[in-house]
Amino acid sequence: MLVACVRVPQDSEISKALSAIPIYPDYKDVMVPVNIAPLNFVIMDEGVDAHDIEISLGNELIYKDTSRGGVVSIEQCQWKEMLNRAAGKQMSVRLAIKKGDSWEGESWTIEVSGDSIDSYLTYRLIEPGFEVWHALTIEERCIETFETRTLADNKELNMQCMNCHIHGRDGQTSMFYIRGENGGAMLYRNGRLGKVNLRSSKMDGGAVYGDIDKSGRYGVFSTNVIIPALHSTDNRRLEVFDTKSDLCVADFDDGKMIVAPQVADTTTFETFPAFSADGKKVYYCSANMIENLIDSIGALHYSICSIGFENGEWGTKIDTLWSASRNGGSANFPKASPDGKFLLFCRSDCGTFPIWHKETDLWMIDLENGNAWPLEKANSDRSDTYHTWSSNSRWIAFASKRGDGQYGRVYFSHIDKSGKASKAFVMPQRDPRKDLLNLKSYNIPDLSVGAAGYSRQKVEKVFREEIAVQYK
Amino acid sequence: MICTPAVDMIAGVFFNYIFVFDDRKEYICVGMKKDRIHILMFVVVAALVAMFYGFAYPYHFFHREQFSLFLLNGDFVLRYFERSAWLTTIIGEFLTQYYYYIGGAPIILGIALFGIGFMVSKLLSREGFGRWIALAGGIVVMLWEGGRECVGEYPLTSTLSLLAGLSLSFLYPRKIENVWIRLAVGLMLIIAGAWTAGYGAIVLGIYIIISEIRKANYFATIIYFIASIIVAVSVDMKYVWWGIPNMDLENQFAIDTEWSRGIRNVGVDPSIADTKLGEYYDLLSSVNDADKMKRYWDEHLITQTMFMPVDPTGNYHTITAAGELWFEMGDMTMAEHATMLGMIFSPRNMGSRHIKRLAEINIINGDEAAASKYLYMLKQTSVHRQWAIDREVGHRTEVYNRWLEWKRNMLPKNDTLRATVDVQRSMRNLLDSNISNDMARQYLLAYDMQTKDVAGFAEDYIKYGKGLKTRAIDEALLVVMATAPADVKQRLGMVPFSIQIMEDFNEFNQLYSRKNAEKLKEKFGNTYWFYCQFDRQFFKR
Repeated sequence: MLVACVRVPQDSEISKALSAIPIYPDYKDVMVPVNIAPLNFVIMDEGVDAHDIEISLGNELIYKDTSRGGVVSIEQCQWKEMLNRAAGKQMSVRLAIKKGDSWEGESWTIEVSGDSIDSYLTYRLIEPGFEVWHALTIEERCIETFETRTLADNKELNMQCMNCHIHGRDGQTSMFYIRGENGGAMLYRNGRLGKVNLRSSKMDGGAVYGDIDKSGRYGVFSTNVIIPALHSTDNRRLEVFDTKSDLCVADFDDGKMIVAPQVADTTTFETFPAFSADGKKVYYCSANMIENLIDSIGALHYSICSIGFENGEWGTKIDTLWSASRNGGSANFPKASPDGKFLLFCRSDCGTFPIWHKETDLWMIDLENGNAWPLEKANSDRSDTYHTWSSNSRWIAFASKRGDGQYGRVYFSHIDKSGKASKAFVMPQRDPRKDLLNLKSYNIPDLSVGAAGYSRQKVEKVFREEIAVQYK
Repeated sequence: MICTPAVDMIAGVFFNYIFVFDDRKEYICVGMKKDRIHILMFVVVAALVAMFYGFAYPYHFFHREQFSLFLLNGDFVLRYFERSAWLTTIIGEFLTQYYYYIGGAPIILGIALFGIGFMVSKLLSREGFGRWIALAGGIVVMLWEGGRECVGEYPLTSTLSLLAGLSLSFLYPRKIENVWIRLAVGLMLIIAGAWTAGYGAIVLGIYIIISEIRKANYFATIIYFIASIIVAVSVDMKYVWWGIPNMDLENQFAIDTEWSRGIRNVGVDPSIADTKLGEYYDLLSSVNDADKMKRYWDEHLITQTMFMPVDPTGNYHTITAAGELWFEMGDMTMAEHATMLGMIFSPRNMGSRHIKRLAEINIINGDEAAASKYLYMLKQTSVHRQWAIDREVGHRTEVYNRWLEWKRNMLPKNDTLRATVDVQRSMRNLLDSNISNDMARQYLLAYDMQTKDVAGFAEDYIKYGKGLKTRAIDEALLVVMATAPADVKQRLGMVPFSIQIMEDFNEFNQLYSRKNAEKLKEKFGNTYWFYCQFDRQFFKR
């Protein structure tokens, strides 16, 4: 009570701020889903003694708070009610800050989309520690609240690496890897968590990047032999490239790997596979093999191709959807929208590791006419990568290093029916200063409709007690 | 003066009175002047231990502070509540930041040890032990804990947990007759102790067990024993049973800490001169001193530890130290790589030293946005706030800006990709951008020689090293002249060798062709020719 006891300023006392009031996160003029958690923020001005915030819907004031300090924190129930009322409409926000004896204010809008976003987001928390790891976790966050739970903690798994968590398009299946001794692919399917070994004798390496189709029966993966190297200038830090990469499909029903020479060509790199919305095609990135990549990384450019996959068999015809040689740059992570209309990918100057490429941006392809364009309002001056679609094809989540350029955070952006993106906003936190003090990146965000059906204790149990089922 | 049992507990501790239960069933306070001798003894012991820490053993504590970070932020502090021993951990990590200051650790630990000794003594007295036994017990525990504090990463939290356990012991209602009430209160105290103070609850358990044994209440003793075992296996704390000062480790911490604090003429204690870290910092601190470098070259620095490994053979101390060389030499990516990994592998995954270094690396690289993240974090601390403010844009001094300009001039101008362990490529890239980088030049040529990369040495000497003249380099050049293809020799050009070295080389070759290993070792055991031909273990300075 004492903290909140600030005299409420009159409108006449509040002068227009001469410059934009710096807030973190930047929630000004954004579009948000109707089911997002409160957009708490902090005023990044140390001289602020108090703040007064008003949120209006049309002419009606629906929220007001006057408090000391610079942290704006909205109670969840109130926020939920506000969003429900404002669905499909625009809220006006007026923030006034007190510095010394005077008040100054600024206004902006928040548009509340009637489209909701999938309620859960899974990500890996890991330091941007280049090529190594130590303590890492896979977390699941309810986007509607601030509730977070740990799905897997490598402290309970002999400090082994965990990566590449994915959710199936069927909304029920999910998977992630535990690397190293006693590890395997932790596959959650049909209500059961089990451990499988997806590396068969037909493959040169273990499965890495992947996607699960909408039936939940098939998973498509790349097998990569990865080499890390360090840049020497311009804060580009780490580059990672493959010396070998091919594709394969796992048949989860029959317990076998399906490989084919047309996607295991030794003269090309095939990587980042993803199923089409109907599951009948696989989109992937492809580049011609280059000798001595460490000196020629600038010449490594990936195109986006597609190949059929039906009834457990690879097709034979390979189509190029986006040509690196024609368009310039290098494409990574093609992901088809669930409604089958668009293909979202990220584009960088070269290579296959866009996360440390500042210039990496999100691009969209219209799968009907092949047109491609950048998501200008969602992109930033730092890498924007590792995107994921919401099941209604109206929202995307992705990892961006905007801001400090070091630590990836999760951003959301609305995609309209023509494939245009709204201004991206960062995933809200209960304490908005959390990201500013966080020394871990949110890595590979992945949206899902429901919560994972297993606990971290179950993960540890399966890891320690089960022997991985070997896929043929 | 009549006192209640409640006052018994509080006043007895702080006002040095004991309370006796007289015939009228009332408490009577009785002053104990002789307790002042005990207090004086504890003060003396605590002061002596503190002085030892302050004058003979300070670097362990400076190092501990460097590998920790306490942020005055709600969300950060709330995370402590997710762990056991949250109370002592919060206080311990809050106080650890003051180890940054000279005298900080001795004062804090001195007070803690005094409290420990005093409380042990009081508890023993309560249980009827004689005052000299109580005094001795208190001092023994003080010294034991003082010894544990000498162990590398032993946290202050652990000392505070011990203190907390002893404090909770005073709350145990030992004078209540009803054994079930005592048992209930005792177990509640143990649970509360485990939650707030971790293994401190075991200390409480031990005291209660002693108290109950003296009452011959063996059933309760067994219950408390089981409870203590459950606490022991369930609290998430590392146990250090005992410790003694490790002066070798202390000396290594000393050079590492002094270097990280900007002292460049670090003196390496002779006791660690042969350790990897000792060699590494001795060379690092010598590279800008012409006389010292001459000595190194004359004594063949090619056997010196030049780089600390950033790989699984290292630990977080050595990986952190590895970054110091790269920061000095000008390769900020390598410096950041080592710093980041050192931080990742450190016990708390964060440290003030790493955050400060990451801030400066990004300031040098011109990435103010990245630097501002680290500076913002440091501004949430008590101790490093001003350091961070001084480095923000708009607050930097002229001196600092000049230093920045100098560091930026050393940065590589051209991008190159290299494996994380390819130190040669890193140094060549630095020299390509700034030929006057003498540190890179000397390290590169020495590393070529150390790894017997004669071809690499030849190219590097031609491109970067001409004019650098030492006996060792001349020896290596003679190897080049004897083995390199004609085009290399042509690019090398005329190299003036002394008559003596030419004669020595001839003699070496003659002895070598005669396979006279003994004579070779005797006469040429300290030459690069011998090093090249034989195992490193035979090479002597």
